[in-house]
Amino acid sequence: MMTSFYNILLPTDGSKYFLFNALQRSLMIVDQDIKDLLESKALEEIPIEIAKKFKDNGILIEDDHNEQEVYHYYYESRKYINQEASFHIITTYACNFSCEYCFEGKGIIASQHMDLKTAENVMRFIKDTTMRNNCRALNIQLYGGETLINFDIGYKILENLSQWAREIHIPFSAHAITNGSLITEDIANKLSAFHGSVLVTLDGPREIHDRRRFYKDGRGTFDDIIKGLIIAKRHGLEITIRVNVNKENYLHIPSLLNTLKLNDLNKAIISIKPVFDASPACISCPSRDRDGESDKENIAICDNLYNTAREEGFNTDDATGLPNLNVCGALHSQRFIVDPLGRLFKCAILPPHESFSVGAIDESGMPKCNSLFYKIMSRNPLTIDDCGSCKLTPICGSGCLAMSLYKYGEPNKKVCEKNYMMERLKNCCEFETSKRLSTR
Amino acid sequence: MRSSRFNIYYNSGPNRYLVYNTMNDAIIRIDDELENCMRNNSFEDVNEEYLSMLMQNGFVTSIDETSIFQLNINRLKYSGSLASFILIPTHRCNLNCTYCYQQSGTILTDTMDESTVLKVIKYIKRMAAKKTGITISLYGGEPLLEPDILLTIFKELKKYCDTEKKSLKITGTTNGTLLSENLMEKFKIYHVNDIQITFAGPKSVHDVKRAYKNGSGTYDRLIEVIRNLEKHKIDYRLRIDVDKENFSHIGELLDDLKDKLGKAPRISIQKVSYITVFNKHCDKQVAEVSEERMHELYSLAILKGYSTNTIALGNSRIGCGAIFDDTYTIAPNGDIYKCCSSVGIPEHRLGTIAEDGTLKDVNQEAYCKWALRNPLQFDECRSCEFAPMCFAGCAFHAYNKFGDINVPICNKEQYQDNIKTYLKDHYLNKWG
Repeated sequence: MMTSFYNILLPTDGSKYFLFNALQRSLMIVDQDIKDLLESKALEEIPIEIAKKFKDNGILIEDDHNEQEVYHYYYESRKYINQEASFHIITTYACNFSCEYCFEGKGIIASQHMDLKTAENVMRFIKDTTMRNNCRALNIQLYGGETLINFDIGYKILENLSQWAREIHIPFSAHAITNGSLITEDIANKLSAFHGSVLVTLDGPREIHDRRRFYKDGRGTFDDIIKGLIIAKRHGLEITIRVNVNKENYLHIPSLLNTLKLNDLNKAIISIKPVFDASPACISCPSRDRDGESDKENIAICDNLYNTAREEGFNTDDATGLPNLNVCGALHSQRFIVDPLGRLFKCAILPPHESFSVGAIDESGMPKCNSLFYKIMSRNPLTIDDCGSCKLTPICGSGCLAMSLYKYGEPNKKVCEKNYMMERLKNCCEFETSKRLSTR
Repeated sequence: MRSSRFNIYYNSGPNRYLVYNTMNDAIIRIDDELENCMRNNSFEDVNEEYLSMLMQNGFVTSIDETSIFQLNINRLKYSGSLASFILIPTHRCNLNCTYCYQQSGTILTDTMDESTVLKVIKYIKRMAAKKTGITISLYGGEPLLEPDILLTIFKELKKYCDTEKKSLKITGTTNGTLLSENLMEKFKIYHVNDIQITFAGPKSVHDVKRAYKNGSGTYDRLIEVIRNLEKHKIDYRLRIDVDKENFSHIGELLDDLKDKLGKAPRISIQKVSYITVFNKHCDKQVAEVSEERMHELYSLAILKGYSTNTIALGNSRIGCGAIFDDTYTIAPNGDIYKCCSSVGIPEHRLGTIAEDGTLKDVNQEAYCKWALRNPLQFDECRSCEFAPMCFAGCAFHAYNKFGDINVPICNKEQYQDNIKTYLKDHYLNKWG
C-alpha cells in the first residue's frame, strides 16, 4: 500500500482536514492523527476500517499502481465522449454594439457575414462530423459578432439541421448567443420551433449597463434588450442572462435583478461571470489566467452575487461542489466553432485570429485541418512543463488552452494558478461538505 | 510537404506502381516518374491536380503524421457507440482438442450460476446505458453447453434493447458440434449471426485434432451443422487453425468444404500459437507455422476461389477488441477482463460484478493499461510504416511472451506480403 500522489490535505475551519483526491475527485474529512499517519507514511497504523475507506476512495493505492496511466486514460477518453456534437456558428462578425471589453474587436477587425454557399458547406461538415463521431445529439449555437444581424442564414442552418436530426432520430437543440437588441416577434417565433434558448448579456441596471454595452453611436442598449427578452419569454424561449461583473458594477447587480423581476423575467437563469483584467477569459474553465489581485476580488464578488440571485428566486448556472476532471471543451473531438469564412476554431474566444484557426471547411464540406488542430488534440497535461508533478493537474488540466495560445502562440503551455486553485478548492470542499450534511 | 511515411510502394508492372497507405487505407496507382518524386519528396514538377489528390488521400502531407496517427488511434478507441461484451457462460468443453490453450476445459472449469447470470444482465444493461447498442460475442469453453444461460441473457437483453431503442447484435465462437436445429430456431429470435466454427484440416486430420472427449471425430457433424446453418440462413465463418502438422493438408480441406457445401464458404486462416500462460505443464506443444507458409495458404485459398481478406490477416486494428474502450470479457464467475484470452490471470482482472450490476474490487489501472495500449507507446513502432495496421501486435501475445502487454509484437515481415496479396487479389487488372 502507498498513498496516492493526488491526495491533497487542506485545513477545515475546525481542527480537522479535508482530504481530497484530485484523480478520483473523492472527499473525506480526517483528524490530525490520521493526517499525521498519512504524511509520515505510517500506513499500517491506520485503523482497518478507515484504511478500507481510503482504498475505496483512491487515497491509498497498491504499491505498483500507476496513477498517471489512469489519469492519461481518463483524459484521452474524455476528448472523444460523443454524447453530443456541438457547434458554434458565427453567422457574422458584424456587431451593432461597441462594448468596452469586447475581445472580438467590436465587429470592426472583422465584419464578414456568412454567405449561403459557406452555410451549405458548414451544414455538410456538421452532419459529417456528427455521424463520424457517432454522436447521439446535436447542439447548435448561433454566435457572432451579433448573430441576429444575419439571422436569415442562421435560421436556414437551424431549419436544415433540425430536419436532418429528426430524420436520423437524434435530439436537436438550438441556442442563440446574442446581445438581445434585435430579438423580434418573428425571430423569437422561429427559434421557439426548435425549443431554442437565448443567452443575453446585461451588465447592470440601465445606467450602469448603458455605460458598458452601447450602440456604435453611443446610445444605451438596456431598454431594447429588455424589450427583446420580454418577446423571447412570450415565445417560450429559455433565457439565460449573463452578467459580467467587476468592482465597477457589482453593487448595482441587485438592482438589475429587481428590474428583471418587475418585467416578469424571474424565470431567467442568471450567469454571473467575472470580467478579468488580463484576458478574454474562458467562462467554464476552473483555471483561468488571472494576474491581477482585482481578479480574485471579482471572483469573490461573483460568489456573493450568485447567493443573492438564488435568494431572489432566480435559477443560477454556477457549478458548485467538487471540481471535475478538467478536459477543456476545446479538446472534444466533435466540437467546433465555425466562422463566416468557413474557418474552424476549437474555442469561442479565438476567432477571428487566423493564426488560431485549426483549419477550414472546403467546398465539399470536408474539414482541412492544419497542424494546430493535431497539436491541440494531442494535448496531454502530464507532458506539459512541470504539470506531471503537480497534484492539481487532474482538476486543472494545465489551465486554459486558449490563454496559452494568446500568451505563447502555442496551445500546450502551462497556464498555472496553483495558489488560487488551492483556495478555490477549499471553498468547493466546504460547499460539498455542507451539501452532504444537509442531505443526510 | 513530404510523402507519408505510411506509403508502401509496389512495383506492379513496367514503369507502374501501386501505393498503399496503411494509415488512410488508401490505394493509388502511379507511374515511375511520380513514384520517384514521392520517394524523393520533390514535388515542384508535380501537376497540381495530382498533388491535391495525393494530399487529400494522405499520400503526401504537410502535417506531423504522428499527431494525426495519435488522433486516429484515439478516435478509434474512444468514439465507438456500442458496448461490447465477450460472454463466457462456461469454461467446460465437450471436445478434447490436441492444441487447446485452455486444455479442453480442465484448467478453468467453472460455469455461470443463476445468481451470476442475473448480475451479468444488470451489468450489461448498466454499461450500455449511454451507448446506442450492445454486441455480445459468445466464447468459452464451449458456450453452447449452456443454452439456457444464453437464452435467459438474450431474452432479457432483447427486451431491454427493444424498450430503450438500442441495437443488439449477437455473434459467437463455438466448436459447432452442439448447434442443433432446435437451438438455431431459438437463436433466430435474437438474430444470432456470424457464428465462427473452427476446422483443423480435412476429416482425417481434423478428427484427430478436434475430437470429442471419447476420441471420436467431429468433422462429419460440423458439415451437417453448416448445412443446417445454410438452411436457416444464419451467417457463419469457418476458422481454419494451422500449425506445422496440418499445414500440408489445408488444400484438401478447402477442396472438401467446397465440394460438400457446393460453394466456397467464408473462411479465415489463422496460425495456432503456443500460449505458455496456460500450457506450462502441457507436454503437447504447438509447432508454429511460419509467416511465409501462412501467406502461401492465403494465396492458395484465393486460387481455389475463396474470398479472404488478406489485409485483415494479423491486423490488430481490426482484430483486437480488448484495446478499445467499452469492451469487456465476462467470465463465468462474474469477473471482468478486457481480453478473453487473459481470463483467469489475476493481474488482468478488472473487477467482479456486484449484486446491483456495478463493478467491485475494481482494478482501474488494469483497465487503463489495456485501453491505452497503442503503437505510439513503443519506439520501434513509432517509425514503422505498418504500425497503423499492426497496432503493435497482439497484446496478450506480448504478455504471454514477455510478461507485460506493453511490449510490441513485431509482424513487419508479414505485412509487406499481405498487402501485396491483397492488392493482387482485389486489383488484379492494375498489375502488369
